[in-house]
Amino acid sequence: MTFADGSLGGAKMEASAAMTTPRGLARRPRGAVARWLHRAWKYRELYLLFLPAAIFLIIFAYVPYTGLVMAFQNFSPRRGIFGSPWVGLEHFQYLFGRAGFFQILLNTVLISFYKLIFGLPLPIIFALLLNEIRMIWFRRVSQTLASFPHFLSWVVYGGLMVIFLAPGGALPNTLATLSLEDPKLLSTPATFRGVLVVTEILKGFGWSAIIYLAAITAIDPTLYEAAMVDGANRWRQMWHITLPAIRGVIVILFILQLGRILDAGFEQVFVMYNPSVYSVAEIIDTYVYRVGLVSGRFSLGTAVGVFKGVIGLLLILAANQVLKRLRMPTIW
Amino acid sequence: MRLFQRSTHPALRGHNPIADALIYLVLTLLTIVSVAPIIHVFSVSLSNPNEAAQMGLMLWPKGFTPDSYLFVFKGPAVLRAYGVTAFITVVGTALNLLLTTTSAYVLSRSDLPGRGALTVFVVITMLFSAGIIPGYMLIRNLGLLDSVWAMILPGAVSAFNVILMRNFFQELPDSIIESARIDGASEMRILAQVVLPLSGPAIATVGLFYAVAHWNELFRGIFYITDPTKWPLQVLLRQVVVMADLTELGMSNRDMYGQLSVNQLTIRAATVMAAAIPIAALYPFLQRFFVKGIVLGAEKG
Amino acid sequence: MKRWFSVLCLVTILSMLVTACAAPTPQVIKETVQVEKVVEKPVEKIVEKQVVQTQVVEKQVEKQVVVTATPKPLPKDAKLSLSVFRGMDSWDPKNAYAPLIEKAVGFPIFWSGVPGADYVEKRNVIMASGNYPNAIQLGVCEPAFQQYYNDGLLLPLDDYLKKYPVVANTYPQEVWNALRQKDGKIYTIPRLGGVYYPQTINYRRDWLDALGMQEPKTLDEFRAFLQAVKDKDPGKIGKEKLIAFVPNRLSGGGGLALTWVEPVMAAFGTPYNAWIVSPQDPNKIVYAPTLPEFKDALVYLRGLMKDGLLDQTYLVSKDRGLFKYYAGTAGATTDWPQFVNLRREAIQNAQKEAKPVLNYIPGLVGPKGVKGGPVITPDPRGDCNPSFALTISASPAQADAFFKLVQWQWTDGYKLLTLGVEGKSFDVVNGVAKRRGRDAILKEAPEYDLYMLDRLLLIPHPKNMVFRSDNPSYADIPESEMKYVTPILNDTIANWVTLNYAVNTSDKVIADNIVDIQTKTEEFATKVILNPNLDVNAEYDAYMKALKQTKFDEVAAKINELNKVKDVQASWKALQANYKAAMEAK
Repeated sequence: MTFADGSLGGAKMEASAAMTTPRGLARRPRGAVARWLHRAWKYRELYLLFLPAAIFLIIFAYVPYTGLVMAFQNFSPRRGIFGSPWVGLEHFQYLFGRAGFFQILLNTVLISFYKLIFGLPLPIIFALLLNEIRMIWFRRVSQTLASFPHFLSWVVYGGLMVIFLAPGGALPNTLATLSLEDPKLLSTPATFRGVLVVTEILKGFGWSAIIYLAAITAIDPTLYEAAMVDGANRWRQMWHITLPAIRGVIVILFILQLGRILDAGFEQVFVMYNPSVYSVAEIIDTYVYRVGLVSGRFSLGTAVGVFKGVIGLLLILAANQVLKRLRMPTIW
Repeated sequence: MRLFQRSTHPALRGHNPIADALIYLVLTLLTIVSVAPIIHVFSVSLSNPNEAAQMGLMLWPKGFTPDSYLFVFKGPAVLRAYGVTAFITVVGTALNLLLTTTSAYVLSRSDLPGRGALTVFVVITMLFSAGIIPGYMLIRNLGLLDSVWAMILPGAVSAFNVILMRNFFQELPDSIIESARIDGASEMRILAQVVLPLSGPAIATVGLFYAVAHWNELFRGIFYITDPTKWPLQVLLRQVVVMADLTELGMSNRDMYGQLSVNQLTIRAATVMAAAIPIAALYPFLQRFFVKGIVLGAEKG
Repeated sequence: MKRWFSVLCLVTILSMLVTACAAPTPQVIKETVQVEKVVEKPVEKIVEKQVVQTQVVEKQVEKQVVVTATPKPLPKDAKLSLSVFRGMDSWDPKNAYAPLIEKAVGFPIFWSGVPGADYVEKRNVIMASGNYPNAIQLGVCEPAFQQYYNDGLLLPLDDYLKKYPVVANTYPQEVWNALRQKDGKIYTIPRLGGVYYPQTINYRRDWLDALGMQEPKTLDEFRAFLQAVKDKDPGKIGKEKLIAFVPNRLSGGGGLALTWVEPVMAAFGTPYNAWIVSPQDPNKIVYAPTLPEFKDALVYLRGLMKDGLLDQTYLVSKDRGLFKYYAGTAGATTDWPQFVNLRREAIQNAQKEAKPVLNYIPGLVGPKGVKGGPVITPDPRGDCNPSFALTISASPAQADAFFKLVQWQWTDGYKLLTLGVEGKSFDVVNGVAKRRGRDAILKEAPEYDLYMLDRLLLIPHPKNMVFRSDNPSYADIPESEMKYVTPILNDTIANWVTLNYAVNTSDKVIADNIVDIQTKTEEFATKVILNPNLDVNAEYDAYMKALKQTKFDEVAAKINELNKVKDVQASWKALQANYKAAMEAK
């Protein structure tokens, strides 16, 4: 079988082609690099296809990365990026040396982690349940309405949650009619992180479910038919067919969100917290903002960004290794 | 009739009416929890400001008045902002999809040499951001300051969405793609005629994500656009809110007309609705794409 | 398909090349800068049979070549126009006033800006990227100011102040001296706020009368009033909506909310977040929240909260307390007296049947006889209202134009900037100028929208802020209310003010730690006020311990070093005199 334009095949195919075509003997590649380049040439069309996106990324993401050196400089607008004095890790030392930084880092990681772990089930459950019902109109309406909170900014949604939970709000009032005391969720350090996590889940589950819904629709219906014939009820079908099929999506989303572990949700925390819960809820971004560390001090802001990126990268690498061991789909 | 058909699976599935009812109940609860805040904001936007200030959470307007919306839409500014933002969203999303599908397809080919490196190349951009100043300098040097393209081009490729789409492509059966390749189709053709038609849900999802991101974009508008006639929606609406409550403008908070400084609560609610409704309407529209792609002659023996 | 794709690729690449080429290349200028290098050399000296090593500091002057890029050219002819960048909401470049101002000043002006909330961010970014507008809004107490100053990005203004005496004479000498930087020069034209807007207590007089009570003068009497309001509900509001005392909180929640109960905190001798004269040593300045009396202030507020006399969402939510007062459901708030008619009209609007009468108390007397009133930092630096500065991108002609603009705005242009144009934005009725309603203006002559004047007025002249009937801002206040408020304002400024002595905080140690100190204080105060079960003394001890982590003693020492009690008091006296003069000027 001849291949029209040197397209994909395995190494075996290639070797056999090389051996059978008249020119094959003369073109046998020598050395690993040359062989690699030869293989790469066969995939040139794919590389070309990748090129536009690569160009955009280079221009708009990588070129500005030269600005990351600001994290290691005392950036002076007058001297610019290439003229400002070099200070090495001074900004990082300054940041880590601030009293209470460890607590802030801990808050950031914990809040992110809780959101990640506890935020996992509900969108999946929601998608699975939606998939189970027969009335299409109900499914569409529910899907749509559930996604609405995503369109509210935290300034609005968080503000509403505060009204709801604060003294004088609907929750304490309702509890009062039941003769229960106001748990003061917003001003008690023990409960505040829970408030952050729960409100975030409620705001985002409808939107997060979209990805899972999309993945579920890609499942081959014949699998379900076969399961039906085998006598499986809907729960077994869910467990053995649906869930495994979206396992890849779940894992990849998890890893991608791991990369953003140090972004614990600035807007939400900022809108909803108050000084009595600083000890558990102050995250890196709110601290940096409130203290005005970045106002006019760009080097410090860049340093924070670099720090976040490095940690995110390390986490993704670690998670990837773990997943490889578990033979699960990895990110690369 | 169609409304009552089973959504995705033939009516072969055994069902337990109690389980069904339970499922509907849970879904209804979740839906109510989600939609309640929107109802509140909507009610506030149609309420009399003073009465709204006294209430906690509202389920219907108190002292019904459309004044807040009239205030928001006064003058051509908001409509113009809608136009600008719509342009950014449509053109931006089209560009996004083009770049994302191509790069995701390439990354999904498991035998591609250097695939790992290319994936790293993409993922890094998701983890690290150079910050606003290098970004600003770049836009300036490209001559894009004060141009709508400054809103469209920088976010043209989102690594998150690329990886997402790559995963969708990876789930597609290899055999279909293989047979197309055997038939001598070029990669581009495979992408366009084989892969994409099968990826309805993925394209709809990623397209929706991009569209919403464009529509809600705020900070690029603040930093890159100076001409007020080119301000995108979110930037403009922020202003409307501030203008409604002059008591926030520093110390000289006297309304220059001796008019009452209007409580911004209802104005803000109206701006939230004005911004959210058009884009939220996109999702139900796209739901029809959440069906399995047509697989013609799927597996050829 | 393949062809399409190649074409698309080509188009993409081409368009990017085109835009890249279209961008003007920044010019590069080389300039020689003298840099002082400090070299420390140890020197041995023999003192009394001991060898002492001392350091000798040798200054070497080096010439360095600094390469900077010129700022990007402006849309208009950059050489001629003055570019002003400031926070500007709802700016319409096509308004009718800008050309009139240009004509009067004789210099084209390019106004640009961002909505106020985002102004600081954007200004920092464009300054950092080398795009300097000629004039920018910049407060001396902002961290960015030190950055720009140290970088040499700002123009000294002294020569121009000499040339434009009207500008120079608007503020007393103490104010200008306070603004001198390390090199002795002045870099900003300030905007004074504090002295004109003292925080007092605003309460419902009609409710007080209905209760048959006297105006409260002490904290205890104030509490009694609040309790009576809650128990007897003289306004017939209903238990659910009634709030006895709702602190204003226009500036946001959290720690900032604590600054809206100034009279209460000050009545204990411990104004929140302020540095005051030590009760033990009249020459020393201490941080008020560290004094033990602060605990009493917190306990008082906690009591109000616990007994339901204080707005229950205070400190927890970021809502604006003033709007609850506007709804007519509260008995008292903290407020600026000169806006009495605005508040009254709002309440009247919300409650048609009520007859609200609003009165003000300059301050309250605390348990030890301390007069608690508003807290004022008698210094433009401490005030931190947005001033204006010129950047090095301004040529002498442009700098001159700027000063001309400011001076004109305060003299001949005053009428235009407050009233607009006769027949378009205001009318003369019976010899008195009355501004038109906004809807009318927008319908007939939208380019004369008076909102634009707010954006065009660079710095309000003190006479824009003083509470007098000839100030158009207060044109609508009824004579009776004006007569009522004026003596209260005067009394407050003269007798009830507590000074914040930390006027000069421009030091690295202070800048690095002051916000952490504030954070610890916020935490301490909020926890105590919101939790009746906490032991105040234990929390106070924990707070004092926590302060140690913030280099508190160093900061306190620095603040004492930079601010002498006598000097700050002299500044305040000057401001008071300035205020008095403005009130009495013909």
